[in-house]
Amino acid sequence: MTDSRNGTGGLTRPGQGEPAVETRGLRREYRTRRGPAVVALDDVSVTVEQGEVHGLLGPNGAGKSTLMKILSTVLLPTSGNGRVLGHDLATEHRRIRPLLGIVFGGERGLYPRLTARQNLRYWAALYGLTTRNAVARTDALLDELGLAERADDRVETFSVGMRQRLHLARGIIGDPRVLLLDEPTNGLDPLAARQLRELILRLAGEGRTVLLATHDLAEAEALCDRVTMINHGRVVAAEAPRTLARLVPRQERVRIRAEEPLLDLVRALPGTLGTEPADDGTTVVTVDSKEAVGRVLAFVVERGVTEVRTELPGLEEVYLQLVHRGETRSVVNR
Amino acid sequence: MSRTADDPRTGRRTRVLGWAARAGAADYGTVFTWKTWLLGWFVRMLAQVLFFATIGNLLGPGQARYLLVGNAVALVALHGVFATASTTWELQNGTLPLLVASPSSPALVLVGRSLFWLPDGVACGLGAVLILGPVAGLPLTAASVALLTVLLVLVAVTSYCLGLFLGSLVLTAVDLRNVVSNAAFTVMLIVCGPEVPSDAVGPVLAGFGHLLPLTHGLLAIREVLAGEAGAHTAGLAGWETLIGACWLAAALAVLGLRARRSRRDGAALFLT
Repeated sequence: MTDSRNGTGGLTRPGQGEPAVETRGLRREYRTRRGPAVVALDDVSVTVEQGEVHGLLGPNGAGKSTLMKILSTVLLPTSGNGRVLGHDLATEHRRIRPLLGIVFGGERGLYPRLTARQNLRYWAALYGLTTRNAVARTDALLDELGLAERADDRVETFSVGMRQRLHLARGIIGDPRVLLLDEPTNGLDPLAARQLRELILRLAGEGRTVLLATHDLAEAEALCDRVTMINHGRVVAAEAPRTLARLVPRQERVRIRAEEPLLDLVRALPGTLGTEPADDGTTVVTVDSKEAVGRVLAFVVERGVTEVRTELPGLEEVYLQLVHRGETRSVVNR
Repeated sequence: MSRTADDPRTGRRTRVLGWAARAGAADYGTVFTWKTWLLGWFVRMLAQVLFFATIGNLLGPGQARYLLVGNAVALVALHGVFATASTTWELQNGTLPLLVASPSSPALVLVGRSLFWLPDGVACGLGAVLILGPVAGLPLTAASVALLTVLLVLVAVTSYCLGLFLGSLVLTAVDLRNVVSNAAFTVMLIVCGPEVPSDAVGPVLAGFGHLLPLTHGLLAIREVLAGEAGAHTAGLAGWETLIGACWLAAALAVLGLRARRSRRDGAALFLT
């Protein structure tokens, strides 16, 4: 798959069971009128298999949106190459566009003075659906996304959550095989965000490939089969969330429900690095090795603690370690 | 899979144009209701034509009629040139990147989204001639009104093409949209013949006027209203059509160029 001798810059040719998205060495610079060029992406190689939900994680300005724009064919890379379902991003954008659905977060991207139904019919026309198919698909999507009752209301009267669901409906009106979601839960309240995530999972369950750019770590952890972390335009890590969790330093965690005198004793055990109270009333004990985990488990169980479990660090910790502490060790799964 | 690969291109383009026009009309609906249009905008347009006709009346015999017709038709062109500004409305919706990433041409959407100006302009121009014409002693017959209507639609369309071209130039320079459309219309008033015959502005400006919409259409309309419609009138209409087509082609070329350039250099056009 990465054989650079095939003349495609290491990329898979169409018809080889190609990945949904594949980039190699993408670089994107923005020229400025004064001063040096700004590098938004630098040597970005990402592979997203068909049917995968893939997270693109990184802080604001990391380069996620630039990568999304390149993949959505509205921007060319300065160097490097990429393919969507085997089609070259630079030269075959007309073949790629019907295969893509694109959803941006935020308020923009809809016609606020048209109704929800009219918006979908409009985009259906843009994606080449016949009138009959457009009517049927619009009705089905409005129903599926819970917008049927407000279908004939102007979008400008919609809540942020309803608009975002309509964005999603717009993004899939053309029945895309690859869905690019750029921070789709941005600005949503927790309930609306949760509903939208359920919708995304449902869409992924239909066999679509989903590439999700987000800085919401819980969202990525809940939705994604794999995540790629980007910082300062470079890929910092690319793995399954659980695999990534194993890559951060050998800190393991034991979550227990216990009172303070016992916790004091736990802190004194060899290998215990510290304890931290959690919101649910339990305490998270951080230890430095698997042996220490066993030691803590045996200690608390012997003393009658029944609520106890081990866990790996969450994606948030991985993110903080790899992105915010500037660690750029090679953990990219090629 | 509901996508239909065999969807004929013409049908698809027609549907896109239709929906783009509908989206534009919805935006326009926030500017005017039919009442505010009729009692505000239309009356204001009539007042403008009447003002110039009155000046013409002071200038001498036949001048009121000349200025009335010229300014009524210029109003139609003005509405076409309004497309310069309304083309940029697409940018405000944040839909341009999505349009560019869609399988259809964003240029098609931009062509359709300001079409609402055409009936508005034709209604203003035709209304001005029908209501104020008798005041200036303009003889109107059913046949001349029918021909007048056709030619007004033609002028509206050709001016719209110029508006699209200018709009494509200032698509990302939103601050310039009204400056450019006003400047363009002022130039048209000077060189296209609504106020003074184009040969009165000198050969260079007159030659420039012949490259703009309105000039030939207005001459054709003057012939129709003078009861002199004939082969020459048809020729003038033909020139008007050709010039409009050229401006449309220029607009599409600029939009295509901008899309390609934006994809390459990451200009602001499609990155909002």
